[in-house]
Amino acid sequence: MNRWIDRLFLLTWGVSVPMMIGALYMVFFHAPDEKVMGAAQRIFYFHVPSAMMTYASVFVLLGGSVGYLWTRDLRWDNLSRAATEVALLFCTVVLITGPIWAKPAWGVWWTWEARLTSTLILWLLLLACLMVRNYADSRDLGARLAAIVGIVAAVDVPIIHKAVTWWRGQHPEVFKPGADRALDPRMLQTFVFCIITFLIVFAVMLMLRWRVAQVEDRADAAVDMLATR
Amino acid sequence: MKSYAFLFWAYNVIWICIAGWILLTFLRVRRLDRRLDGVERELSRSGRS
Repeated sequence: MNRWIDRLFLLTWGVSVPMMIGALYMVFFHAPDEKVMGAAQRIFYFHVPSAMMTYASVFVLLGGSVGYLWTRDLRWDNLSRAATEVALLFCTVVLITGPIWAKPAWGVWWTWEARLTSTLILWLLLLACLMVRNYADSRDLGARLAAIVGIVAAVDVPIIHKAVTWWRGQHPEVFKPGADRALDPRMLQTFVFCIITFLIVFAVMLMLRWRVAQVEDRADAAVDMLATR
Repeated sequence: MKSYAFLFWAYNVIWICIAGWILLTFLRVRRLDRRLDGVERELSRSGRS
């Protein structure tokens, strides 16, 4: 199993390196300047895929949390631990790139608009997930509490997604059903390429963090064995 | 259109650093995993004797 995961990791890592270079090339040389926002719009190619990978990570976190509460198997907890950290990383990228775009577009770095606020809540929930796991008295208690916070974090994702529609915030709706907007094909190509690249980077990070958690568990078990002698 | 060559190369440098760090971390974890194999073997052998 581990050997298989290691091979998959090396393969995805090997693919991710040229793909990210390709994505950067497309963002800065292939995609044209947007007519209204100009250069600032290019951050969209990092911001939106990062938001998508946050959703994907929280989806994995939900799976790991439910799996752990159902089976009490710590391997599920390792998966949710890995997903939490990856989700926090991508959510941080979203919260950094968003204000960089907002300043030239809206004139302010931050506003307490529905999507921004709910994304910040998700970031805080992910941080809480890591904190309860690390500060709990036992591994099992930490895993249980983190699983519950993880499920609460997952509930926030559809709220973030629908926030613009429900509360009519300032945030632009990227995928509006039935919208009659002809996106330049080069912009669309760049956007799709960036999503695929970020998906591969997400897989690389998740596998790496999962492997680290697995090795930590084995080391703890070996220490416990030594302590009981 | 503006030239984004500087940004392209700057992000490339950052990305190569991150990718290198990821690979190094993975190789260290794999080495640690193999050393743990040895520790577990040793522990089970000394437990039997």
